[in-house]
Amino acid sequence: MNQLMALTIVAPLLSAATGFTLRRHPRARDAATIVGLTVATIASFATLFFVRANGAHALNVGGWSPELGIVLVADLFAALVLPVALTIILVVEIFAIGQRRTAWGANPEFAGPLLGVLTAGVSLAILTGDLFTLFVAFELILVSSYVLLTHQGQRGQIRSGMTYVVMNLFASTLFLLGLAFVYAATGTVNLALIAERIPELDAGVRVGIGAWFFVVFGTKAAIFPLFSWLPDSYPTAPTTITAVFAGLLTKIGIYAMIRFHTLTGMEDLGPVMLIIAGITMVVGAFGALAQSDVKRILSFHVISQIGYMLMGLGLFSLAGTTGAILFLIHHMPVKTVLFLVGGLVENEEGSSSLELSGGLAARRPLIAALFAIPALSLAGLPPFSGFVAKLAVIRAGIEEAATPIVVVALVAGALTLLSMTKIWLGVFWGVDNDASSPVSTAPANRRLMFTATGLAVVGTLVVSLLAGPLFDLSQRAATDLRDGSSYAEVVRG
Amino acid sequence: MIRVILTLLVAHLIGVVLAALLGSGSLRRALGVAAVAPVATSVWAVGQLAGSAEPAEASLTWVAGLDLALTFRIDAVALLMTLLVSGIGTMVFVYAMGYFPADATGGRFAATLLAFSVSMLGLVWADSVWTLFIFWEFTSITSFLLVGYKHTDPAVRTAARRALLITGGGGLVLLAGLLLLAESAGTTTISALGGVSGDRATLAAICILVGAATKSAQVPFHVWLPGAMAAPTPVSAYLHSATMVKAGVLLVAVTGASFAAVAPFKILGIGIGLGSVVWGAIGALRHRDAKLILAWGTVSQLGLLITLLAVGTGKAVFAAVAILFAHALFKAALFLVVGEIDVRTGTRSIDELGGLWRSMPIAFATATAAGLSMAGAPPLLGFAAKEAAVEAVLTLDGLDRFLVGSAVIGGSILTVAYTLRFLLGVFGPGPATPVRPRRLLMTVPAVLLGGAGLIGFVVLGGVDDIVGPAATELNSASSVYGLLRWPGFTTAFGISCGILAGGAVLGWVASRSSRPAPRTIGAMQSDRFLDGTIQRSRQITALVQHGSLPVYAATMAAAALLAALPFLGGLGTGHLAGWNSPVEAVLCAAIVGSAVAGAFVGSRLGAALTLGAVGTGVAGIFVLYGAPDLALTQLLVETIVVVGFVVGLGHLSQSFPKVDRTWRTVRLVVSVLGGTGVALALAASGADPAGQAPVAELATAAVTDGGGNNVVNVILTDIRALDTLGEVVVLATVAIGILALANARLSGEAS
Repeated sequence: MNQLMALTIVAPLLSAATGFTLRRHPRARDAATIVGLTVATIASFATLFFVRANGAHALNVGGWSPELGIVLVADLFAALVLPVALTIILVVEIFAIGQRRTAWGANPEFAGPLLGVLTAGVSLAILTGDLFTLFVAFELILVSSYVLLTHQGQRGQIRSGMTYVVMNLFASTLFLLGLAFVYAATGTVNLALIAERIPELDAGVRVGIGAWFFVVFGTKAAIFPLFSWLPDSYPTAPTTITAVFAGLLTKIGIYAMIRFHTLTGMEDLGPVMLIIAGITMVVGAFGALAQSDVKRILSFHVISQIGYMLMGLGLFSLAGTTGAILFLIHHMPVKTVLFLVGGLVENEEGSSSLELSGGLAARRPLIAALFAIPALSLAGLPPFSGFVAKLAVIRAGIEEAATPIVVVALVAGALTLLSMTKIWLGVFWGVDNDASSPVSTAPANRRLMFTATGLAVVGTLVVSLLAGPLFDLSQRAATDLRDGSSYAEVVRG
Repeated sequence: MIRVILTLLVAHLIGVVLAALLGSGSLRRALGVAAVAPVATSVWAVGQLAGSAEPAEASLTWVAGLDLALTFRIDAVALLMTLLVSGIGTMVFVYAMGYFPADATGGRFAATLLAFSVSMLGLVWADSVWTLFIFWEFTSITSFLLVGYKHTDPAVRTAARRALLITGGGGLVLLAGLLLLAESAGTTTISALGGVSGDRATLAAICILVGAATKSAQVPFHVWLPGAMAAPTPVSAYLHSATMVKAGVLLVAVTGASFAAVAPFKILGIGIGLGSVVWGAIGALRHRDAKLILAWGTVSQLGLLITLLAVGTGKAVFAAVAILFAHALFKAALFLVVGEIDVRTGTRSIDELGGLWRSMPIAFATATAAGLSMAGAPPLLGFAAKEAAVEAVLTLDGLDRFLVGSAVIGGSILTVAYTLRFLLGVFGPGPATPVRPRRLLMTVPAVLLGGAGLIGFVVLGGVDDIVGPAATELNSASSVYGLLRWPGFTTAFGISCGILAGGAVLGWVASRSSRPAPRTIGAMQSDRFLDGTIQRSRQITALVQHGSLPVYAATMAAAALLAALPFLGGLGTGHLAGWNSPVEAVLCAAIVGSAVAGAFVGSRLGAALTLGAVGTGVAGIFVLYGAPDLALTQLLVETIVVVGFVVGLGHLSQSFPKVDRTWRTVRLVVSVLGGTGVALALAASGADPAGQAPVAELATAAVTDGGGNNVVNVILTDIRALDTLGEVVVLATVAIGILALANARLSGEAS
């Protein structure tokens, strides 16, 4: 059974290879991608149910002992996040097939395979119990996302892709240096062993390693002041790509941070993390308010919301970590759906600019409904998952008497609400704008786009409905993470 | 009981869906469908009132770990509120069928109104702070959608946004307050809340009062309510006078007992309430739009309720509940009448209206009955309720007596005044405004609600049976009080007479004034604040997201440098050795020299060559430490890179663009410090390691398990094959990217 998790990496890679080989045959190529992603998704759910019932398990890749080789670990944290991530990619790919003729532009033939590579990278990043393999996974994600961003060869995309790739390569370099520090200090890159040995280190080195990886993962997660690569690059990409990016990329960064910093018990960094979390929330929310384009508003919200997860982590309490994990699980689908709805708006209006749209609620009530649900969730309003996640994080803050960050989190919530009303007032209310020029899409493709978005919205509702069990699982995952020895036991087998 | 509650809630939800699905059909039909659930709920509530007095509870767990549950408790307070929510709701649905033109289409209005109705029911049934909060936020959202019903008008959109942000922002403060309250009380169950005290409880009290004030349109958060009058009149009658704005009052009522020992609760509550009583009444006396007069009157009346509840004595709570009940009836009736006038004359301005007592006699009678109830004149329910309030004042002493007395007596005088001004302005003398034919569906609900004040006074005992238990539920000391039809010649009665006389004079004077309607203070400011926030956000964003890649990179380098600082703490002088052998020293000098030279050479080609020199030097270090294969790989890479640079440079200018001096210095400093920081961090890391790399184990395992004598090869192709696979895929992906860009360029040139 512990081989199953490998399928989440292997299946997308194989589908990428098949899709690339069959790139001249659109149907076969799309089929290959869908099959690969579906297999991976099913495997991830099977892993979740298995782990929930039987506890965490590890897979020693190639049969090498954890001290020497690479180990993949399906602990509850990984098993929870993996199905969410893979389902998102699958849904977006369905949407993308519908939108392909309009938005993938010049090179639709590569989109599927590239998404396959991205998926493999995401699965690997989530499952790996090895810091170096995490680096490799980040590289896979970075390269495939960069190519996805620029492969249409449009000027704006290449220019903003420059910021994206330079900043992320810089972060990769810092990651590599961090690996050197860790290997020099502990003699291993295995996460479980690192977690065991780090407490024995001199306090300076220990905190230094934590701070260093805070910068590395923080860049990936787009925290203040390291988020600059995100708002420039996200909106220029085709919607479907942005939807995947927004739902996954920064989340992998925060995922890695939650795993690394909790396993290694970096409580000393808590205050710094809380300060950065507060600034990230507010600056992101302000950034969103400043925009007048749906996709740009949503991009800045990615940043703002990362602040809440960082807040949960920075509290370094069981309730805080639980909140961070729950927030992560809530946020990934909600953010993706919002970008997909942004795609629907763009399709309908010919642009996602607030000035150029209007009156969509009357013309397309379905789009309005599809937007309203995740938007309310994002703003943290009940009865959606966003409310539960925010409540969990804020309650943890109150438990730890971290008043300033709680106040900041509430203020950022109000700002989020304001920018969501900005979208609602600009796009859905008001008068129908004559200037809008719908992108022509064949009805079949449009139906596919609506189906995918609808499915995703239902998915977010399921997350809301199952918030109770998901909270319990998050709490169990947090308990395991905070107790490094259980992770080590799993890795040792 | 859980089954009944769920059935009623689900019936509402089915109504919402059905009404929404009638999207393109007739609005009237949708409203008819939507009215079914409120009717059923009203019938059930009346049945409950007649039946058992025992509170019933029901709970559905949502997130156990956060104490999140849908917990309902049907007690006397809930039943009273249900009667208002569903009873007045039924009237409003019927009224709306007449209000909108017969050929109006679109079921969304009906669906949203019913969605509000069910949210309000959930709110008044809630017995967990979280259930209350969930439905509280629902009412904010549905209110937003209903206020913005005519959203093609920009002013309506602004008003809707203002309403949402004030009530939504208040919701966030309330969230904090409820969290703190739950922490202090140790429970989230409202009926189990005990008395709380301490700093957290004080903070909780303030937050909850602020949240309540935003919802109940209390000073200084009242500014959204006049704007919300942009909604269709059925909405104004239902949400913004009879039910939703009562949510804040209800919240103060149910938490009041717990905050008895928290002094700021009473002080702040009375302050907010008294301010609203006065400021709301002044607004009602100055505005000339009949609907706005009523809206400002609501601010004032709710202020009175908050004042009484904040004082929290048994008699005050009893009076508050009685006024709450009476207010819902008369205010809804008045709104319905104004809506009818609006539809039948096309205006709501008291400047344009006149003589309607003759042309709209039924509306006039209804408004007079409701208005007199509002003014607290006999023989109407409002009289009995206000008598209770005056009695409550007389039982107080000291400052409380003065403040609450000002609110009750002063507020009542002003109420009489604006009621008189309203009646005179709308129905009074003047040339008769032409009216369109009556619509029965609008008239009947208004008459029923307006007449209820009269009937209530006649069967005062019946009203007492509803109000009394509810007040007792909130404060057990209320149980001894009751509503009186004829109090006798008491002090309170004397005061009441004085109120009526004083108010009549004031109202008559005010109605003579033709001063134009004032500009609403606060609404514009709050809009400007929101727009200012958006403006400010643009400045902040331009500051952090300026678009300069070098500055971004410098920021990251600076962050990394800060992160390297802690390492210095782990560094002893003994850990720093320059080099292990003279050759190493020479190599290091060459590497550093090349790097520095690279920073200063002006031409791109020179820079590429110095970079190559750095790489070659590193290869030399590999040789020194016995890794010739690694060194060969490194040399190969460096050669390819330099060749690549040279080929690529052909497309660029020869030299680097000019950089200004300061910026150049900054970059130099960041680079040098960065390099030094990394070097020291690495030295510190290796100074006192907590574990050793498994070098010997790797060497053995490579041979025995991997079957290869070259350890590096075995590591790359077997032990860490997954990493290698990943990197191979990375390279393949880069190749795809190049291919894609080349294709894109080719197709771009072809077209």
